[in-house]
Formats: sequence, structure tokens, C-alpha cells
Amino acid sequence: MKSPEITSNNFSSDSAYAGLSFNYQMTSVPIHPHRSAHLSRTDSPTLSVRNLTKRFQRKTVVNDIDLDLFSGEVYGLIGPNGAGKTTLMSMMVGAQSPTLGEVFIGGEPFRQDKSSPQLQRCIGFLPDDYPLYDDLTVWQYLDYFARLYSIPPKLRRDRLYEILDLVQLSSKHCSRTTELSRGMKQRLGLARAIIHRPSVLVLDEPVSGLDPVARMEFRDIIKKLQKDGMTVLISSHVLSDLADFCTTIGIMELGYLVESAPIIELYDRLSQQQIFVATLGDRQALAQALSEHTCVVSQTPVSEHEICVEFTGDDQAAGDLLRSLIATGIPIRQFNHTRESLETIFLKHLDHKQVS
Amino acid sequence: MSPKLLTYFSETLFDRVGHFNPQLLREWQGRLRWRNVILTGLFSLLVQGAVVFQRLTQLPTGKYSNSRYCLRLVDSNQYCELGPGKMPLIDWTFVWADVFRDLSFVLVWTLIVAGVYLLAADLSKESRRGTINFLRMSPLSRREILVGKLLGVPILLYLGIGLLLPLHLLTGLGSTYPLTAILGFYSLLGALTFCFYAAGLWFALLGTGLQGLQTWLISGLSFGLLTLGLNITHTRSSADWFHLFNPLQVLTAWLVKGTDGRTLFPFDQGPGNGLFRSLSWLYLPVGDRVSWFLLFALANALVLGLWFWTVLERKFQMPTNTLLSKRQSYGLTLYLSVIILGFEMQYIPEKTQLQPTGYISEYFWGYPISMMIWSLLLMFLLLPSKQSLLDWTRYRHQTSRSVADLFHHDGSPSAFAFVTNMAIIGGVLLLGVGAQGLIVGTMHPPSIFWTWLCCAAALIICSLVVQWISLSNFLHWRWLAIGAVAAVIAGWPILLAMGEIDTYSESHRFLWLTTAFPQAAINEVQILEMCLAIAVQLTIIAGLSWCLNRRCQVLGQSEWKALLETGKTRLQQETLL
Repeated sequence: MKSPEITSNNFSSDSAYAGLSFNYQMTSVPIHPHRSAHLSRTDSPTLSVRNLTKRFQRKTVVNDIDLDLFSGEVYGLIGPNGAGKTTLMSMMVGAQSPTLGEVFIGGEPFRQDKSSPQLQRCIGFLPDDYPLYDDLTVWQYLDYFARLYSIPPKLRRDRLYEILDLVQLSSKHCSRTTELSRGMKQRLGLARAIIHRPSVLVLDEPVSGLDPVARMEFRDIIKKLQKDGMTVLISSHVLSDLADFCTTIGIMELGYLVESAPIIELYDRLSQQQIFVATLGDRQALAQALSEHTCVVSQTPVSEHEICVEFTGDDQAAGDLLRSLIATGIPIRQFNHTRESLETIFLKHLDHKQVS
Repeated sequence: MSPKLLTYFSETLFDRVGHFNPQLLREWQGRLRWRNVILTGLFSLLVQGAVVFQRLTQLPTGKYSNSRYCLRLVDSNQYCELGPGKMPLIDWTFVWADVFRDLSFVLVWTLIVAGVYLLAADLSKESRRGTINFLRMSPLSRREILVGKLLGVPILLYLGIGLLLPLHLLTGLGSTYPLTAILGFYSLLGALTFCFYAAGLWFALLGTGLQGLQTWLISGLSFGLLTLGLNITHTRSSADWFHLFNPLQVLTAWLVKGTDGRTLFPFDQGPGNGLFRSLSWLYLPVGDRVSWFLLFALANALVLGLWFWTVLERKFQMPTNTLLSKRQSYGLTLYLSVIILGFEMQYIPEKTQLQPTGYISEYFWGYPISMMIWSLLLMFLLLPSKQSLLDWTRYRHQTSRSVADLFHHDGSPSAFAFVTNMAIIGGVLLLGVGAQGLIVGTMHPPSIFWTWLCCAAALIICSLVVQWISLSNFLHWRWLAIGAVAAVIAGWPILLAMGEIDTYSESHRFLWLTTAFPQAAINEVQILEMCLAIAVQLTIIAGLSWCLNRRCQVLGQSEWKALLETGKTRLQQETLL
């Protein structure tokens, strides 16, 4: 395994794990305590799957998966191509029937061909390959789906304005769907998926093929929905995006859900922390001061005045370390506390699996 | 009316329609644009104008015109009687009768063939593009969605037809057709349109692998069936069923009375001119009165239409389902058996006409052939997808309730359901033979029943072969299966004929009983030969069933077990080496 590279504090990766080069990159990951605090796991789950299995020919592409999604949770599903993410999502929304197992929404069993319309209204789905009706305008298109989902006539108009505003397509409401850019089409797809205010929103690779600006706009919308308390299940290869707003992460591989945990727990358990310290003075003195600290596991000199430290403490402990260094009178030029990104965690996970 | 007011009214109408059925609104929104509406209206008027103009050009222009439209013919029926102004007197009743006839043809063929094409093309397109999945996942019921499609997709066609109806009705009334007859024609047209449309939509969902060809195929079939329904002669057999598939049959027997007492059959160009008059069904003279025929045809169209609608709804909701559920197949087979048998029982034969052996087969000859065609379709319609069968064999110990699953579970092999269908056909035939015997007053060993038994055995062999091929890894297994069926049904009798195995030669004539056409030899063979033929067929069926069962067991193994078995075999081979 190669040693991790240290990158700048505001690094964000687009490349994801496409190359699988195992060249781990580290980035500082802002962890917001509120992202898991508001989830009340004592409540019954909004959506559950039990023993969900899907076979194609004799290959099991989704294998005996159990999963619970709670209200307000944003669950990021990651995994390499062919891991079974899309199939799992399709079964959860009823687009495909499982070979075995069941999906429950609010505790009630959900099957596309047998469930009540009320239950079907609880789900919003945006698949990765998303066709539109060419002959309709944006307004007509959303109005059609609003009617399909039985939004009362009095509320429909307001809801359409509201949703167009949310996805920033108000100025395009008279345009035909064929006239929209890819990013706009994706936002229109999202608008369609949430027009009926579903309690669970399932998004399969919603930002694939979008430019950074469109991705950022899309991310902002998801964050707004998250604030409104919607349960979101999202799969994406852009892990930096997921790390930005997901409360829980699941890793799928070969049809198995090999890891599923709140993102904070995942970072605590799997992400290594490093502190990069640069001094204007003597490196030896700095190394001496660092070695006295209990949270410092190892030190690696980077240059004449710089040291990289493997660290095990939390943010508080990092603050204490900085204070103690300043108290010893060592002139500190730079102090960067970084953690391994979600991408690195995923790649390590993948590497570990392959080795085993 | 100002354009603004018109727009307001249309928006309000659309809104109300959308409230009633959102799918209908969506179809209208895409189609009902001013340009399309105006063009449709103009086209409809153009067609009507062309029809009327074409008849007006045939009006007599002078004394020497010998036209069917002359009011009175003089001088040995050679010349038209002239009226004031030296212009020929014209019998407008006949002119309107012919316009009515032409418009009726336009109405029937356009509404059904073009409508089927539009609906099938629309659903195929949605299916190919994937937009149909959003409809499936929406809370709107499949019935509402399909009704929306049915009423919305051909909306321009309905508009054009709607503009044509006033002239059609007026010319009909003007040519002495009673209003009840015209309304009866409209009602039968409506019922048949529903039947054809439901079938068209269903067919569009079936032929996903045909790359859009299914649209042309189903339109062509509709066209053929309509043409056949009008032109087929009365055969006193199951072929008479086709008479019920063209609503023009109701009008063909109507005699138009001219002003001067002359009469005319406007629909006199085909052989189907009022032929339904002699139609019977289960000895009931359904063709005796137009109203009876109309009710019979209406009932047939509605039953078939509702059946197609039920299977359509099921297939629409879950595309992975078989084309026809096993339970649905039993009902449909029963219906088809009864209706076909009914047409085979049209008149009671005189005892003197009866032949000493096999006489009943003379009066049921069409039944085995018709039912064989249906059975050939059925063996493909009931075939579960390979995945469903694999899942069923893999997990049946967890999900299956009992042996009854073999008769109604979609994923189970189709053989049991197929045999049940064969039994239903045989049962209905037995009832028919029994009823015929009772009515005629004599009972005789019914060779027709043996015929069906042998034919059913050949079909069951075909069904097992098709099922076995469907489990193979061939990419184009469907074509292979069709080839195998063709080989059993047609190839085997041809081979016998080429091998000079005559039905009269005593040595190997029993082999003819193993074909799908045992009637060729049924009257020649001894009972021992018959038993031999059935024993041969049962042996083949048992062998194929064993092979199929073994294949299912192998495919139903878990990946681990399969892997271990492969390893075990390899190990054994290596040890032997």
C-alpha cells in the first residue's frame, strides 16, 4: 500500500475512484455534528428492505440486503460499477421486482403492482437514464406529473411555481423539454421526482455527466430538500459531493452491502487523521514537542522545517496539541489538521477486499 | 368568437379533461394543436367530398345514359326517362345508398386499421424510450392510463371520423336504412374497435424485440381480419366465426327500396352479401334476424375485447410477466373452444347422410385444426421467461405453496398448464360430440375425439421441446423454437409422405397418428395401432419431461452448489486420467 499524499486544505476531487490507482489523497473533511444529530433512529424507518435479493441468470446481483432509511436521512450509496446499486434502487422503488425479499414503506409492504396509490405517492425516483416527453413544455410536463400524482387543482399551480423556483427553471417554463441543457433536464427530472412531496427520494447517479456548476446547483437543491426533512437515497461516483451532504454511507460490492454506517462513525472508524506542522525554527525541537503528546502515533519529516504526524485524537485534541506547541515557544508557521476523504476510505476498503 | 375566448374555453376544457384523466390530457396536449386540428378537419372534408363527387360523376347526363341511378328506364330498360328540361330523372335514394356504402367502408377500415396502428406505435415508442416506466410507477391506475391512451392517442382520427359521421348518418337515412340498423352498426363498430384496440395495445407490448415491426404487423392483421370478415363465404364451420369481425355484415343484408319500387343491395360486390342469414351457432339460428346477429356479434366483440383488456392491464403493469397468465389461458381456451365448437354445430345431419364409421368427424373437421392453431400460439404465450423459471426452480422450496403452483404460478414450467388447456379443449369436444349424438339420436365411437387426443399429444411434445429450447443458452432461441415446432407439425408428416408411408399401407400407417394431423389415417387404423401410436407419444413425452425436469434442477442449483459440482466432476476426471 502506498503512503498517503498530503494535499491542500481545500482540495476536492472529481476523479473519484475511476482509475483505482490506490494513490490515496487526503483532504480536510468538514464534519458537521448536526448532520447526524437530527436523525431520530428510535422512530420507525421510513423505508426498509429485508433480505432483498435479485438474480440475473444465475448471478446474484443483489444479495440478501437489509437496510433502513429514517426520516431526514441522506443515505449515500457508493460502489464500483456493477456492484448492484442501480438494481437495488430499482427494486426499492418498484421498477423491478425482487427475486426474494420485501420492501416496506412506513411499515407497509410495497410492491409496484399491488400497493395502494397512497404508498406509491411516498416514493420519488430519478433514474440515471432519464427520458423526457419531447412534445411538452416544461410547465406542461410538470403539470402532467402533478396531475398523475393527484395534487389538488387549487394547490397545483402554486406547487409548480414553487418547484420551478427550487430547481431554478422558472425562466424556462414555456420552453420545450428538447430545448433544455443536460443540467436543466436533470433538474427538471428532479422536479418531477419531488413534485408530489414524497417522503423518500431515490436518486440514481443524478450528477453524472454534469459540469461542476450544474453539480453545485444540484447539490444545493439536495441540501434544501434535506433541510425539509426528506429522506434521500442517492448513488453517485462523485464521492466529494456525497461527503458534503450525506448523513449515512453504504458501500456496495458484488451485490453485498459491505458497509453501512453514519458518516461520522465511518470517518472515526476508517479515516486516518494527519497533522501537517511547519515551523520557522528547529525541526528537532518540534519533533520533541510532538512526541510528548499521547495522540501522536508517528512522525514523518517532510522537509527541513516540516513534519507530518499521524494522529488519533478528535478536533479537541488537535486544538490542545496546537496550544501546547505554541506554549513551548516553537514558532509555528502552518498547522493543518486533515482526514482521509470518503474517496480514500472507499478505495482503501476496496483494496482491502481485493487483498482478502 | 374571439381567439382569446376560444383559448380560454379550450384551456378550461383541457383542465377538466386533465382532472378526469391526466393521461388523456397529456395525449391531447401533444396532439390537439390548431394546425393539426385544422388539417384533420380539411382532410376529413376532402375525403367526404371525394366520395360524393365520385358518385356524382356516375349520374346520368342524357337520355341514352344507362345508369343505375335513373329513376325509371324506358325503351326496354335501355334509356333513362327524361324529366322537365330534358334532364334525366334521378333516383337519389340509390345515390345516397352508394355514398353511404362508400363512407361505411372508409369508416370501418380507417377507424380500426389506422387506430390500431396509432395506438400500437405510441405504446411501442413509449416502451422503447423508457417513459412507460414512469407511468407504471405513478399512482394512477393502469386502467386510467390505458383508457387515457385509448381515448387520447387517436384523438385526431376520432375528430376526422366525427366530422364524417353526420354525412354518413344522413346518407344512410336518405337511402331508407332504418335508424336502428345504423345505430346497431355504430354500436358493433364501437365494440369491435374496442376489441381491436385492446388487442393492438397488447400486441405492442409483446413484440418488444421486433424493433417497431409489430406496429405494421398488427395493423396488417387487423386489415386482413376485416377483409376476411366481409368476404369469407359461409362454410358451416369454425371459419364462419370471422363473419363476426366486420361490422359491415350488419348492413350487407339490407335491401334499399328505390322511389319507383326498384330495390338494390348496396353491398353487393362481395360474396358476403347477407350470408350471415344462414348462420347458426350450437344449432341456434343466430343469423335469422339482424337483431340476433347484431347481439351475437356484440357479445363476441365485448367478451374478446374485455379479455384482451384484462391481459393488457396485467402485461402493462409488470412487463416481466408471461404474455398470458395460466389462469387467463384456461378461461380463454374455454371460451374459444365453445365458440368454435358452436360454429361446427350449425345444422343437424339427417341419419341417412351419416356414414357408418367416423361419421361425426364429418361435422367437426374444423375444430381440431382451429384448436391446433390456438394451441401453437398458446405454447409461446404461456412460456415463462428464463429468469422467472430459474428463480422459481431456485427458490420454490421457500416460496412455493404446493403442486398447485404448477397450474397457476407464472414462473413454473408451462407444460402442466398446457396439458390442462388441451384437456379443456378435449372436454368441450366430448361435450359437443355427446350433444351431437343425443340430438342425432345415435352414438358412435367418436373418431374425432381420438383425432384430438393424438393431435394434443403431438402438441404437448412441441410444448416440451419449446420449453427445453427456451432454457438453452442460444441467443436466438425463439427462432430455433419456431423451427422445432415447424419441424414437428409440418416436417414430420412431409417426411412420412416422402418416405412413401401411405395411410392405407398396413405396415407403418400408425405413424400418421403421431403427427399433428392424425385425421389422415384415423379412419384406416385398427385400435391396436392407435394404442401403439399413443404409447409411442407417451414415451416421448415422458422422456422429454424427464430431461426438462433434470435441466430445471441443474439450473435451480445455487452458485455454490454448481461450483462444487463442477469441481467434483473435474476431480473425478483428473482421477480417472
